[in-house]
Amino acid sequence: MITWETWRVPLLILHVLCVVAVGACCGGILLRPKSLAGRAGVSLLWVFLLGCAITGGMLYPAFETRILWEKLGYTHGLGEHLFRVKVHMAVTTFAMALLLPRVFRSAASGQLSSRWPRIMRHACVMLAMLTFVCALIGRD
Amino acid sequence: MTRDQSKLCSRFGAYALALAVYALNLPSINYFPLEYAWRPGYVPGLPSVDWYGRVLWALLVVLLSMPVFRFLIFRARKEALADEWSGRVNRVAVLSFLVMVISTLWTVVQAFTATAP
Repeated sequence: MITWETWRVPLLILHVLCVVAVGACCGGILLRPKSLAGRAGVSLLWVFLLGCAITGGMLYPAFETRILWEKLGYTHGLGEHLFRVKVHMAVTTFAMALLLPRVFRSAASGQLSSRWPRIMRHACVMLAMLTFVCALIGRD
Repeated sequence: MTRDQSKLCSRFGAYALALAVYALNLPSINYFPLEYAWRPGYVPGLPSVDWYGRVLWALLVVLLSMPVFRFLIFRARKEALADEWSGRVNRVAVLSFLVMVISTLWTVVQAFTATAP
């Protein structure tokens, strides 16, 4: 019988793949900004972040359990707080990653100050990495 | 102002506003369309609508504010070169970026300190 539990393992694998892809995009953006890898990373970062959000959202029972504990007055450890912080930071990273390609294009054609791509790039990568660190420290 | 600049401005503004609304953590809309029924934000055993509601508010703000910003910028723009507008576009970017950073810090601090309702 197919239950919710059946989908958890492939979903988890997809989620991890998306996280790895986000890491690769961040690496490309930071280390090779001028090359094809860097430019593809700028354009694809939001796609993989969206993938993380969708698969993460479908792995919802984990989050639901935490909310249930919270409503029941469970005393939180650091893990629960880090779990929430991870999700919040992922939302922020997504919004910034959506802006990234247009900021790069505008700066390239001189319509925006050239320091903006640098700032946004570093902000996005830093937030994505912090999200990843939160997930690593906060995992059960 | 070029078309690209107006698009950039409206997106910066809309996303900053959405993140500010996300940070505010408004009460959830109690209707989740896929459920075919009204139900309160929290029912044991079902996914928490509170969470969907929070993201839904941000989505609504983006969808509603972006065309409004586009229209306002369309009205404000004069016959001017892109160079003359780049200062203003930069200021919009700075302001929106600040809003994004502050709202992120706010949500992170809230996630660590706030107690369950």
